[in-house]
Amino acid sequence: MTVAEPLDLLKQNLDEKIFVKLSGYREMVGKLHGYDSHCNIVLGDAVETIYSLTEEEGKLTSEQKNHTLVFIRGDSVILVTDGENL
Amino acid sequence: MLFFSFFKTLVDQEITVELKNDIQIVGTLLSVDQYLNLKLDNIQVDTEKYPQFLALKSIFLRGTNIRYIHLNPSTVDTNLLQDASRREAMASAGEKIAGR
Amino acid sequence: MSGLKEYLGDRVKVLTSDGRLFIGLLEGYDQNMNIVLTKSEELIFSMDKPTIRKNTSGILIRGDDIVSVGMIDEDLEKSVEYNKIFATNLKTTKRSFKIK
Repeated sequence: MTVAEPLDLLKQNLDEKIFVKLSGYREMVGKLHGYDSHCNIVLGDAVETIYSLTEEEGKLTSEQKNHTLVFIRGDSVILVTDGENL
Repeated sequence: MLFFSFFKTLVDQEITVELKNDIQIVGTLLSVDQYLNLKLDNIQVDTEKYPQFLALKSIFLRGTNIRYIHLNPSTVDTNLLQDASRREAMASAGEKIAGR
Repeated sequence: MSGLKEYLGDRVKVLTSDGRLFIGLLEGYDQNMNIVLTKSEELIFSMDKPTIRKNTSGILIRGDDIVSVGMIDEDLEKSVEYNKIFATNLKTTKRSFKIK
């Protein structure tokens, strides 16, 4: 299958694990169940990672959250890639 | 249009909305419009932290301020959603060929 | 469908994208969701002072800057003791480069 246009990448990854980088220093990995042309995305069994810097030292820390089924609004999406080799 | 239809199937179900200002709102979905603005009923918010939501039962949320919507898997047929996503992709590809 | 119609004439709480809270009667709105509140006031929450109620008589809020519009349950609202509430400011829903 070829990628004729960017969103074909999402089509090819339906029912597969994908990695999504989001605004607000967030990332999400999960199984792609749905998407549309706005990059709205539904992921199943997703793990979200939120990065932040500590106030005193400015050290990078992260916390993780699990989501069984989550809709992500497309305007937060920065990039999408397949998540198999993570 | 896909997610507009999708959320219409979730009316009367309980959902959790996470806003871009980190606030989480649990409530029963009353209605949705084409911009994915939502109306929730019987909302629950941590009002200790966010007293702004005290004394509210029914709330209108503007879609653009939503980050995530957490769904209950038992209310969603993920296979159906995948098929619908493929169909919508096909339809929009067809529109482009037709010169729309 | 469009959600705000049912709130017309009711007392509502409007949260804006810069984290501020306005209370007033929903006098009207348009297709861009610009809204007009009458008999309105702004509630200012802070950690070191109890809630301040600032009279704003009548205001127009731009639709783009609205996060939520909630219908006030008057019975619940009467029981809220704002003079005993301390809370931090809400975050903005817009992209900000400030890191916690």
